[in-house]
Amino acid sequence: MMEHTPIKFRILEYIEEHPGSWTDQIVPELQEEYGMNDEHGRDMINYDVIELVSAGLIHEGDSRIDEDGHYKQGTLLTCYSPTHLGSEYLADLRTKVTPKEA
Amino acid sequence: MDGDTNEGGIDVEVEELKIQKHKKKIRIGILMGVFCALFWGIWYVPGYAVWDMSILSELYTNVKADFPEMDDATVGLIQAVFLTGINAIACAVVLFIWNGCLGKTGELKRTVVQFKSASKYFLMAGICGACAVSGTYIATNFISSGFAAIAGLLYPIIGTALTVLVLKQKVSRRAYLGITVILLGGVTLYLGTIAANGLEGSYIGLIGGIMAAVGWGCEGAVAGKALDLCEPDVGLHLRFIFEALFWCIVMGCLAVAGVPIFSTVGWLLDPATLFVVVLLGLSFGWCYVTWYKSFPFLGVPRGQAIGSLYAACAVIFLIIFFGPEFALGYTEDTMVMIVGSTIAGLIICLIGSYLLASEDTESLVSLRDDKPSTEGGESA
Repeated sequence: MMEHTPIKFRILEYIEEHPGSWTDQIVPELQEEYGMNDEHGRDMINYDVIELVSAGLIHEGDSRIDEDGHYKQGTLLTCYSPTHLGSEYLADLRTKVTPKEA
Repeated sequence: MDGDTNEGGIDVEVEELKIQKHKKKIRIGILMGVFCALFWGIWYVPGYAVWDMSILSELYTNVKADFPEMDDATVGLIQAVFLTGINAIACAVVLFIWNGCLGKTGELKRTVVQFKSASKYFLMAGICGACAVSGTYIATNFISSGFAAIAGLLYPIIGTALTVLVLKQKVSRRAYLGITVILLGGVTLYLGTIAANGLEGSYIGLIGGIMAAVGWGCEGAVAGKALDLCEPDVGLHLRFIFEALFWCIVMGCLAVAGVPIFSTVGWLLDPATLFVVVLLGLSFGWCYVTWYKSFPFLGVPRGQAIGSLYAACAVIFLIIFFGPEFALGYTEDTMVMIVGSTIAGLIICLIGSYLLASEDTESLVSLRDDKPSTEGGESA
């Protein structure tokens, strides 16, 4: 239900629906969804993901290097899962958010 | 993965990159805090200059002409309201350009419509900020710039208390020590001036000082909550739009009551006045951009403490632009005490900043305890 809402809402929902997602899954999919298909858009979404880790709403798991260049060749890819706090925030958001059409 | 592995089977290159990533994140946070202090310090230069310009001095004359019985304190408050309103509008305009260039206008629209879950926090932050900025102008006008700076410096105490108690962000002992040392340094900076010149002014100035500390402290805590789930650039822009709207309503009410508050707006067409207003918008707008951007990575207490270095930056920029005698307010008799306390304050601030900047970055990966909610989520 978080499609076309503020992007951090959607990232949190995506990671809760797909726990254990990697950077190269989350970022390209949301780039497509939000029409942010350039490098600037890619880096902005990744920056938002990192901010969610800082806030303690998602958790960093394993890491590996992007060797096939699906996301950005040679950079670190990280596996993310929601934290307890992130799940609580999302449940609260679901009671407050007005879903938007594209 | 072909990289080297250690005894635990962990890829050494990946671990190294991970540590670098965490360090980079904290470096960005600290850099944002330092830029915040620089822009905030610069803001005091146009912030003082504007009081001597016709846009404010003629406002005083016009209000006095229409309301001869009105006392100077009330006219001073009206000037502070007008100036704070112009400041907020200038910042909102600057941030429109900023977010337009960053391609974030779409995110702005998505955020503003989600009132219950997002934009209401920025409305609250805007009101708290309006209270703080007008409080600073009031404290400056009714007591002194030094008092206003010290009163404003107390805001991280309120911000830290609210963030730890309400938002449950982690603050290490070292961070508490760094925050305390920076605050002590900030107070020492102005202590000589206040000890030498005393605090001559009305109680309205004291209330202004309290408004600054409480307003910015509460704003930091509210913004910290909102920035968990919102873009800092977008959230900040909303905060200034709400603050500008708030002041437009206040000024509209004053105009309806017959106060000639818009009588000097025409001065904005004067190039010198416009230049100073643009400088106000740029310096304060970017100061807030960097302040809000430091919160997600450093947490509100550390971000506010590093931002408090504005006191040191303000002294330095005021000395550069207005000369040491005006900036520090000393005479031959008081020079040693005032210059000594300023230098001591600057050194203490640097020690506090070092304590915060050299904190272990691995403990700052997350600002809260972040246990995953699913066992299977560790790896794909």
